[in-house]
Amino acid sequence: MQSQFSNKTKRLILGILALIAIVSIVLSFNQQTSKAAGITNINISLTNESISAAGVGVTIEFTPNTPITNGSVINIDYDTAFTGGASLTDGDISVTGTNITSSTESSIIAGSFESVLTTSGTVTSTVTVTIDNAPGLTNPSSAGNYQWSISVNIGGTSVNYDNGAGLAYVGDANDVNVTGIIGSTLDLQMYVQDSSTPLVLPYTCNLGALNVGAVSSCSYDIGFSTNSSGGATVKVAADGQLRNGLNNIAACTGTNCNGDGTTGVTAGSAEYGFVISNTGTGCSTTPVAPYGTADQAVPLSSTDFFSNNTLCDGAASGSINKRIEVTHKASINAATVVGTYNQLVTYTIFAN
Amino acid sequence: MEKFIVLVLLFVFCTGFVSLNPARAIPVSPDKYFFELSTNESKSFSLNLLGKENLTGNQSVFIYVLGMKKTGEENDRQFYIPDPKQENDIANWIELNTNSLDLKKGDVKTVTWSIKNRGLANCGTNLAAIVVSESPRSDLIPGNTVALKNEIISQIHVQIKSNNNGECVDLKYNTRLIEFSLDSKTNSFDQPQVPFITRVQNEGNLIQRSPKGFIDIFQGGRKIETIEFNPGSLDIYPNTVRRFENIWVDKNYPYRGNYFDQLVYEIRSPRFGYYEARLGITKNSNPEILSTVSFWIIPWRIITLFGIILISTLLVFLIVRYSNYRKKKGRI
Repeated sequence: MQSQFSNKTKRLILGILALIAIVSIVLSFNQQTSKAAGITNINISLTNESISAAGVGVTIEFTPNTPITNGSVINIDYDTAFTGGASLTDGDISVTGTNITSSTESSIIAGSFESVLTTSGTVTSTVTVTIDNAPGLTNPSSAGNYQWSISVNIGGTSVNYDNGAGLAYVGDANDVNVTGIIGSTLDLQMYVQDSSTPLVLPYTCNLGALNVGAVSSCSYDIGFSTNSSGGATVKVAADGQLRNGLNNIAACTGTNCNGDGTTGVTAGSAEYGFVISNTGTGCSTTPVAPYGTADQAVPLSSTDFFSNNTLCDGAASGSINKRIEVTHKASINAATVVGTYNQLVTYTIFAN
Repeated sequence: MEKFIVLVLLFVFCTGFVSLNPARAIPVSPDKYFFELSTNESKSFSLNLLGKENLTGNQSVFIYVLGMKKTGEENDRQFYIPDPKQENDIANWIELNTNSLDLKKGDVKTVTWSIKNRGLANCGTNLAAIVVSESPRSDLIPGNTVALKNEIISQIHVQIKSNNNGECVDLKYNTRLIEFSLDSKTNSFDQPQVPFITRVQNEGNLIQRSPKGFIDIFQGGRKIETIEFNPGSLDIYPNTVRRFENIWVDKNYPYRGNYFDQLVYEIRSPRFGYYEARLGITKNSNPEILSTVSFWIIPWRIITLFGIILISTLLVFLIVRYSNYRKKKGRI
């Protein structure tokens, strides 16, 4: 009796272990990538890519794998989210290409039709199947890539088939290939910290009188505006160290200005750095690491400082919460040479 | 008394001076130009500077040209002062009708600039930039101060159609998928928050503008979600790789909720199993790009809950079994 109970327990444990093993094997599958295969160079283009557009013509281009001969049958299947296909007639669809004399369309239903080809020789170059835009098809009601499948029954003998598929892009109401000027605007404005008051020229951030017992700091806000859907990037560069002639207050060193063993600018250490002290909200602004983490040296060459990836109107006077706040900090020690120290920092904005 | 009056007048003068010179940023339009240019061909364009409504008094604005390069796989550009000896740098071909102007509230002032193809640039897309700044200075401000300067860039993209070697016959876009993968160390996720990375290389010499498409999420052969690819309409510069980031999220999922909020949502809207993300960059891409990546969603909260229930049931079962066995053994 004891032995039977023990076996059951063993089986239970083994069963659980087997289950864990199966799940582990399944989970350990690596990411796999694959690509479409079959007929090459398939290109599906629509005369209008807008959602729900009516009277849309379609051009399907492909290069045969096997030379197409007389009597070959091209079967086109497409997503029935395109409507109006059942109303097409032979005259609304044509097939052209080198050595293709004519085509006869049949089996026309929603999402599918066939073209029987008459050729004067083998067809090896680009074949173009065209659906006229009158009456044409009506595009799907939601954006997406929609599959169009092509099958070529070589010679109509039902022995050799070439197959392939392409995607039609639906969902862009603005289908103009712009080659001229894009009417977009870009703006960058520096403001008094947490205020609607812009800085006054010459723009400055005043660190005040430095002393060994404390860290001196000054802050300001940077607002930017872009109507580019890709957003904008701001770079920063200094013309040199915070300096008084040949004397510098040493720029931050270490990952987070921790070269002296303490993170950030620390009193009595003779350090200088700056940090994005507030990223604001509403413009999806992201500081470039590590400027949003802790005090850093102001870069001496133009370096990405922060960016966003959407529209933003942070340069407008009322958009206080959308702005970036920057804080400069400096400390001195007993050996810091007396004098006034200064530096020029340039912010450059461009559309992504 | 006279000193006091002088001081008061000085104060009034200074505050008046300040109020006459409040700086306001100058919106610039457009932020980008795209056009073609053949050898010896000249073109002229306008850059508009807008005087904001809150601008009081005159605002001096300074305009100058820089060279531009695309760097990195993200948004970065490099701007530099063009070397006048480099005649193949199109920044040296640009002439401005003015280097500075004054702007008041409501003004729309136009800077006219022209460019002539001197025939020395490489075929394909060449780059330059026009900069607008309120401050031309590079001098330092007295006192312990950090002087600040702003620059607003309008980018110029010129497609050189011909040069001194003749017509450019090799102008092309040629996009190639370098990577379509999950931006994660694992291919399993406990909730529908799945990040994707797509890296596309433009091996051609023309800028590939705004490649578009979709990432379709499938489960069991059924499409359950469509994400727009490149909603920001970003371009891929010649001979560079561009990295795109997309994320599939369930908009209703309580990502910021507590454990029980998330557990309740996962039970109500279960997502479990094997998923496929199919990328199709089918517009403004030559050739079209297709790829697939797979992943799992394993909702550990539900699994933990059911695991606890299962183990508890099993333990109760074993305890009862063992108790019965002891009783039987005791009788024997």
